[in-house]
Amino acid sequence: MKTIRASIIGFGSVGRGVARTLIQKEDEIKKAGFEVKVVGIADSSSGIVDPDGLDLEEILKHKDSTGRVSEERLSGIEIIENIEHELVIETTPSDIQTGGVGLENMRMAFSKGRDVITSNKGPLALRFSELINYAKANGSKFLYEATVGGAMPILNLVRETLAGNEIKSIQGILNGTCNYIISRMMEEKAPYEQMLAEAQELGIAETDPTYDVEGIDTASKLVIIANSVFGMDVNYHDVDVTGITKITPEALMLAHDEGYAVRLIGEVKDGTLKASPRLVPLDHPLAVGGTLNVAYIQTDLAGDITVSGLGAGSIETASAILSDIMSLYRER
Amino acid sequence: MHHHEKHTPRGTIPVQLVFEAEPSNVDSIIKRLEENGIGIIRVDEERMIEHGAVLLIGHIVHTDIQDTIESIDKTGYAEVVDISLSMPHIESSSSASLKIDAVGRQELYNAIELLKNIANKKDLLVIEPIQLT
Repeated sequence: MKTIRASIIGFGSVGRGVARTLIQKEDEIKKAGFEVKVVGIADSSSGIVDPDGLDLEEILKHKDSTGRVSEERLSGIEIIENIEHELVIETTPSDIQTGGVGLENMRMAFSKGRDVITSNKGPLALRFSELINYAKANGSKFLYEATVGGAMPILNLVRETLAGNEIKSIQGILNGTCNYIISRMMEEKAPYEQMLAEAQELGIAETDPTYDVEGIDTASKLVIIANSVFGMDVNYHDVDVTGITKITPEALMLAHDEGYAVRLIGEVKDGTLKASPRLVPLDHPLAVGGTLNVAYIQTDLAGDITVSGLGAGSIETASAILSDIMSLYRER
Repeated sequence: MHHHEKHTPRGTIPVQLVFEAEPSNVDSIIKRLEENGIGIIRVDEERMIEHGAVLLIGHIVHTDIQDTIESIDKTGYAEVVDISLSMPHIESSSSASLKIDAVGRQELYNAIELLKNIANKKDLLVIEPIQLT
């Protein structure tokens, strides 16, 4: 059985979810004809390596009790550069301004010919074609299903299941936080600030919600969809972005009276990218409430396809990463 | 498209027909029908065949809503046919839903684009419908 040596770079909620999933799904992975041996893990302040394979249970316990993976000051990029392995699982937080440490990690991984599977949107939303070309030039594989819609399958769905179809447009609810806030505003006839506070109390919204509520997260995912599915060459700055902060409960009620729900919709259509609140007919598949992500894909042969799933969360995102691992290394 | 009604006492069958045609062709359609022995009882014209709804949020009234509406009506190809307004407090944002009719789909799209330009200058948020096709 072949062994894939992997590093997990970034050991926050998603990175730990990946570790737990690798433990939980060890048998399923073996059934697909390979095993994953994690040889390096790094968080923002420490790192740990073992070429013979790390004990993931122990490291998870250590992280839970101390907030660090080890007492060693070892960075992710050092692990990627110096430890022999095939796969870098890059789960550091998104930085939409510069691409952040994730961009550097990916560049280093490709320069070493390693494959990369990531949940980190920032580098892809800013430097998509550069990264794809760099990966190709170095013979590396690069998969990123987890960057768009968490557990909701969209990139692999289009690439594998809908192969051969022309994708005419994709419209979607790509941010569960915004969808929760807007649908709760309508239910409670309450102002934005009140429902944001509720979402923050429930852990659905971050303390600084800017990234979600200003549409930045939706726009980043849209860029990845546009480049990946439509073969466009766009970045975050090409998206027409409007957030949800100005929406009033009165507007939601007026819309409802006319037979519409308001939803923050990301749309790639006719070569343009738009992330903004839109009116959606109440009987349309996109008119869902709660934290779900939904994508509505218009194709030439298969007609209209709707997929939905949990858009965020540690294990849900890890599920998308696992599906990329399986599709990359499964014996065919 | 036609709607078939009951026989009249004279033995004729009233039929409602809808043609989507350029205005200049209407007379020749009527003439052809009459030449074939079909009596024309009534001709109605519906120019604005596309209907859309748009939400506006912001200081709608303070920024002269009449001017906003007139800008659409002046186009000649689209008009605001209904408006519902909600003003909860004098200081806070108002919300309005506008129904816009237009002579065609492209014209409806153009009218919404025009409205977005005006709204942008007045710092109003426009929420437009998703395109269904």
